[in-house]
Amino acid sequence: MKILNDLKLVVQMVKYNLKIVFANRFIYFLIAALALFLLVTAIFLFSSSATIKTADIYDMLLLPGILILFYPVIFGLQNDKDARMLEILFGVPNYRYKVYLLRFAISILVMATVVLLMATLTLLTVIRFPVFEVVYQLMYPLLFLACLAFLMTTLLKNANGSAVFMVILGLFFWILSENLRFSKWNIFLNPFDIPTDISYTVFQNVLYQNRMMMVIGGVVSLLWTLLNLQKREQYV
Amino acid sequence: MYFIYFHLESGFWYFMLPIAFYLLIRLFLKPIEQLVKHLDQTHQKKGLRRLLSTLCHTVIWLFPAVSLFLFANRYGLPGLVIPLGIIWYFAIVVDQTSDYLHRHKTDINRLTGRFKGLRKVFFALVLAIPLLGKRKEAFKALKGISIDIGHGMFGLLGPNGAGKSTLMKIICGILEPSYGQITINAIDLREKREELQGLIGYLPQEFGMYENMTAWDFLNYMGILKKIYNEEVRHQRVNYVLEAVHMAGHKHEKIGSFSGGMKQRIGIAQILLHLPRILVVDEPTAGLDPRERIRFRNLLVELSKERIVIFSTHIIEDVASSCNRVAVVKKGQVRYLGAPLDMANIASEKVWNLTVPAETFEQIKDKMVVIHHIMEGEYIRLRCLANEAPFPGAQPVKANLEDAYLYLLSDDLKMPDQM
Repeated sequence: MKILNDLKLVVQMVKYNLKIVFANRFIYFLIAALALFLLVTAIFLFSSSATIKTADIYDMLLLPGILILFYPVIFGLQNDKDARMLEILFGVPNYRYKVYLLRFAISILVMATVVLLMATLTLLTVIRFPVFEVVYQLMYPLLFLACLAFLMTTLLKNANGSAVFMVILGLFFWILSENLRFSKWNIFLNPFDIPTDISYTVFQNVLYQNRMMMVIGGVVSLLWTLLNLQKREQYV
Repeated sequence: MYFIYFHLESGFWYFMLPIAFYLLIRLFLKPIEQLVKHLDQTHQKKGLRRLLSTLCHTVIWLFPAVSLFLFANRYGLPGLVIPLGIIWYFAIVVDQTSDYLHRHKTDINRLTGRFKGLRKVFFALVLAIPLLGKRKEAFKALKGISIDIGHGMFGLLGPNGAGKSTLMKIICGILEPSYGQITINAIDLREKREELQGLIGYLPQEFGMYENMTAWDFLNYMGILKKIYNEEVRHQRVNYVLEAVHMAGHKHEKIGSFSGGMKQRIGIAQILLHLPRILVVDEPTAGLDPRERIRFRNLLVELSKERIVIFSTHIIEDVASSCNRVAVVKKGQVRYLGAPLDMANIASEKVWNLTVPAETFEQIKDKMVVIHHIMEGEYIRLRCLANEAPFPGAQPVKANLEDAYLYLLSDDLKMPDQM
């Protein structure tokens, strides 16, 4: 009986949080992500399948993933502020876990589900590739960026400012993409794009270090965010 | 620093490290800058102030040039060095200008002199830039408040900006006081903030709700957040609070379709969910029509039978007709604490009725606090507050709550010692 009650509780929490997340402009970001995905898939369909590699699929799915995460993570706190719900939520004991951490987790869940669906669709229409491995590898940069964006919203306390910061960060890595292509510092390092001039073992080592840095960076960002969220007075 | 900076092999870190160093140096310079500011304000030790100020400015302005020169000397890349230099110096200009504007409390709308239009645009731009230009000035919101609040309705009365909302937010644990202590049943709110929040229900002055949800869904969600995990108990509680605020008939309607008064009642229902022992409601009657206001006030009185209700307002009638005790707050200080009925006595023998010619009124109006006045032909009949009869023929009248409130807020009249 208790298990059933807990299950219903989880379902209701997910349902209500999805309602809150979808209440604003998230749907436009979702549509944009799907449109981008369909456009790139269409281009792939009309090109020779011999030239398409798993590395291209990884790159193709990265941008829709970022688009899906961008809005709920960056604008979550701001939307509550705009809806004048922030002070009511601040009156809830331990709100930072029950409201914001949970909403962050649900946003990740939505993103992972949509990216998995897109990957499956690509598998059915374009080429055969290890779907779960690609989605798993995509989760490293996406989760890291999500945690960093979440941290920025609590540091800057302004969603537009955080969005600008994340765009600048993206541009920075885009400008340096050639220089950092196979570097461990590249947050967009493609694990399926194996260099020909470096030994496979060395590249695996670089990849491992890159993933470890992103995991540690993500965890630190998330903990820092939760610490910031506790300081209610900074947001009122 | 020498080993880190001059023996770096990676161009990327050679590029990034000066920026980090600069931020670190600015952090170290902060106390020196504060000392300079203090010496400037107190007009002390001019020589030392000039020396320190020159030192700070030299470091602030020269460091980027030196580090960018070193980078360019080693790697070239003018395409990278020049834009970075421009951005860096622009940030310094913004930071220093904002500092100057805040230090001199410059009102950019009242600039005089040459290029005032251009300067105004530039200053407005500087003050709009987050992190660097935009700054908040700290001020003391509450001063030496000591109140003991017991069972029943407690009213906080005061003009806008008096500090009522700040006090309420501190009581609810939303704001942390810089100093002082708030205890609930002898438990310090700072130590057991999360636990004590379970005893308090807080309704802010301007609140909203998730308008795409129905009243039922919203309250059910808030119930889960407030740890009512058992579904049966939660559903009973949601029904109970909806009944309590007379909104059960609208439970399946979306909140977005509700009127202001209905939203206010859903707000109250939301804070009642966890059956709090203390209800804190910030100006709940503001913006409601008279009928809704009376209904809402009665609801609060009903709720105060079993708990403490602290509510703030600037409508005296709300306090007079519902509160057991009241505190009048002005500029962060309590001017009166006690029963509303006794408050009127504060202004006894200070309220006058008089009729004066219109031209005389213009001459004497600054010597008293005019409560209201009305034209009667060539004459003006007025009710005013003054320590002595403001005009020959003025009649002393019995003070009411409104008179007492105005008397307490008046800086011109002598304040009573009583608190």
